[in-house]
Amino acid sequence: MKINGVHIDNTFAEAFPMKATRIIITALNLEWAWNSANAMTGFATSVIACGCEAGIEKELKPSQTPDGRPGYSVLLFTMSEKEMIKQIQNRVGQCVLTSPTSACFSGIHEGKKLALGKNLRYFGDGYQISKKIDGVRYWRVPVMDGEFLVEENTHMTKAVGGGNFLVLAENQEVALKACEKAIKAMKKVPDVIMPFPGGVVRSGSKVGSKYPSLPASTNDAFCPTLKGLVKSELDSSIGSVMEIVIDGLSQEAVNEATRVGVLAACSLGSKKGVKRISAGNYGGNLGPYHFHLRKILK
Amino acid sequence: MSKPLTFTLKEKIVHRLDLSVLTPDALEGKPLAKVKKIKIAVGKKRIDVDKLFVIEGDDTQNIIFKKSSDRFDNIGQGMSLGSIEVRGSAGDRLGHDMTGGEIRVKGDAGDWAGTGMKGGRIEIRKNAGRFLGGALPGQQHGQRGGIIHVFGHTADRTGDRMRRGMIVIEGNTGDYTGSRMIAGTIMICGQAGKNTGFGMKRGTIILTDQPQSIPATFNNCGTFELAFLKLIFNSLASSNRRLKELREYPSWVTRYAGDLGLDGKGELLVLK
Repeated sequence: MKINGVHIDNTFAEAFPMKATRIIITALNLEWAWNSANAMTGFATSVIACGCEAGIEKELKPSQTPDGRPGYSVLLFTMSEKEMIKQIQNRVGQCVLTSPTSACFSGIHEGKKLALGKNLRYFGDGYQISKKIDGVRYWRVPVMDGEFLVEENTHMTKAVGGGNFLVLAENQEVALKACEKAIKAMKKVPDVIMPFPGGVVRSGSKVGSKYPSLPASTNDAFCPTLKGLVKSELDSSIGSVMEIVIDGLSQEAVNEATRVGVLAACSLGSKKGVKRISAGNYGGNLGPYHFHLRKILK
Repeated sequence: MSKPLTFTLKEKIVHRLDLSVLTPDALEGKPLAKVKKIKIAVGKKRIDVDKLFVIEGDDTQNIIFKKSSDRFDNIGQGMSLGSIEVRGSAGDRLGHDMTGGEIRVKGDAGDWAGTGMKGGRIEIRKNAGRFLGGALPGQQHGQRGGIIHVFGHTADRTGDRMRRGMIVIEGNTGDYTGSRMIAGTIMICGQAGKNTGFGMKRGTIILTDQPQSIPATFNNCGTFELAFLKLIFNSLASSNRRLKELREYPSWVTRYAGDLGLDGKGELLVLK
């Protein structure tokens, strides 16, 4: 299968079940909402060392937020409920509560309830005020710039983490350009985030390492500089590989993001140096979700 | 198609009627013949419903009282579902202890409307008496949830010992509104009477007009834009077309904290 001359490998991405929540952050203006959302989703590229994977899902107009101010919705993914509780509390407590003019709301209203402002309210030292509006409890916590308004709970839903595809190109510049095009298109797809810096990861990993203490190590089969040394997946035309990892609230959302992303990456065409699209998997034995590239792109 | 179950008063009454037995919950699944023989307390006596009312319709989830008067007590007591429409005035304790459903009164309501209410909605299109959403003598709490919307004015002690929920008054209130309030929200779109918020522990009283006086036990905390007001205004605007202009209301308020005699965790918010 070829798109615009770019070869699509007959392979699949292997993804895993995760837990997810959506949080809406608003502020006096978009700039301050972004400052807060960006801080909250910082250092959240991979559950391996960050505890969670998080990213800004989309910008929200005042008409789309509960308090009529501009904002952002962010998605947060973890492997367990316990970790989700910890991550929400730490990240909202340190990055949203602290951010001038911010307010914080649940962006999902089904699934298991988890504390959002329920524990953070104690920052108010007894001066916090509860308001129940349309059956939903909010907390008004007095802070130095006025009041921090936060919904008591958010909700946790089942999700899919680790969807991915690889862009194989002649050199770094072309690979990055193709990935940038893909991310731009994928950002328009709802219910997904690409958690790595700028949405792109250059250090894809394989399971295990020659060093016993490391659970994962560099994906040598896709490292262009090791072509002559290991059993490589790359031919002589490939000089650089980059990966886009996708976390989504549903299989359909990851499917759609993959489709949109691959098409955008391929739009650059093989003549400009994009050679192949592949995907990362572990033989299909570890993750229950398989995203077959050719099926998705049919 | 089923028609609302309608009770039309046959003749003017002298005694007060206890209508707590005629709610959507109490009548659910009852055939008309049984409904007719339900006994209603009228003064000292207990009289069959069909001797007092002309009964029409069959939908027990939608009840209408026609030719009602201010002697119709306990309408909708303890109801959890359905709707009751009162075409005329209602007596005391309208919606007492209700947990859900809706009551609409086209006229006035007596005292203690919405007392003990935990959920649902009461709409009073004219005026309400004393202790709207307030506590009955001997009770610790008044309203504990739901929403009461009064198109007209209310008498004294509105929201006395209110615990949770929302009261919206489009007109003026009597004295001591929100007295001894424990929590919840009262919004007054007209003029508030004297000593509004007297003895309140927590809770919020929103005033669209600067009141003639603020009790001495309230302190001015300054003027702020409070984000939660937008949520309240949007919620009210969606609940009734009459309140739709609330969507455009600014969230800037002067905040008076009080009653300082009771920790000062309540607030009077006067809209700018």
